[in-house]
Amino acid sequence: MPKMFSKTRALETILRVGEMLANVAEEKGLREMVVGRGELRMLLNRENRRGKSLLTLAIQRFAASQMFTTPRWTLEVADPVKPLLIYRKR
Amino acid sequence: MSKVVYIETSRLRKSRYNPRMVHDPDRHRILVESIRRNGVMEPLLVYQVDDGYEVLDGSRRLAAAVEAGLDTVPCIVVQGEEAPRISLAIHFSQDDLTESELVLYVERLVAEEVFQSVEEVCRFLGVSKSWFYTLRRAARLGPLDSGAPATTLAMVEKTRVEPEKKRRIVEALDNYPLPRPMLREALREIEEKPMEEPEHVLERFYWASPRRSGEDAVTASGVYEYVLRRLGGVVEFLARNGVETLWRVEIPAQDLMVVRLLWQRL
Repeated sequence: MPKMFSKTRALETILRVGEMLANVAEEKGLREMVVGRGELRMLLNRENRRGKSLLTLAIQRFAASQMFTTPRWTLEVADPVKPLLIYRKR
Repeated sequence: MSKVVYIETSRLRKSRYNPRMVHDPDRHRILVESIRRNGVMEPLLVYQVDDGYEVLDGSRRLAAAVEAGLDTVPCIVVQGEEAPRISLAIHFSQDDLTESELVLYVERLVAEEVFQSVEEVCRFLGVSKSWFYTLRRAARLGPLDSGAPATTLAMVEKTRVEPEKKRRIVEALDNYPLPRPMLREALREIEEKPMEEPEHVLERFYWASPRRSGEDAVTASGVYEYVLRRLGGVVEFLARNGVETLWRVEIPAQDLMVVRLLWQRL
């Protein structure tokens, strides 16, 4: 099982997923979304990528907070083991 | 002089004005172990909210204390109204926050109208505007479609070479995708030979890594081209230089350990 070693990369992975979700929410005109692992798999595992697994790794190993707040959105980690995220526009 | 009071951990939670988003699991373990042995030595900085307290400084100590099974921790209570500003002043002097965390926190405070502008934040911190913009440039996310997975990028990041070279390595990896063990070797070589172009090293490793050329054949090239092919009950192993075959051996398929050893020697 590969491991993620870098804190910076972990944060970057989480922020990228947040940005992706922000784009999806904007397209659909939503202010709040609950994103489960099925949706994450669809979003992140295109072309045989392992994006969902990497996100899980980043959340489990590095997440100090259950809440990631940026000026545009907040991302709440409801379940770090089987990733369940709650996206909210600010 | 601020008074230290003991507050139950159940009434404490991490402040929403704490810029820290990611932490280092190893350092967390060290902290838990230290707290288990000595308790919390340094008081946490907290402020009161409706139903308890939020921890402005010391969320890692709090998490570690909960894990170590402490019921109360020493705290210093400060005024809540000034929380975002105090947090900014405290956390910007900490070394282990990443650039992205700092930049996001400043932008968030401006968005929440705690400060009027980025300039005001810089005046508050006593640094020049260009400091912040340099930080933001360093924190800017790369393109979303960088082909390499995050674990590979983390490996590149750990390499001790200049940032410019790291960027070139990541770009070159799009053309020469390498399996992880080979990449580790290649990065070590790039580190050891700073004069050599990183693209050339990666290219050499790419061609040297075994590739499947047919259903039953694997090839790799170094000084010569090596081919490993399965023919019925035997495995043929040959070295070629152009069209000329230099040597050729046939090994019974049940002696695959020998083949593996030979392959690793090359």
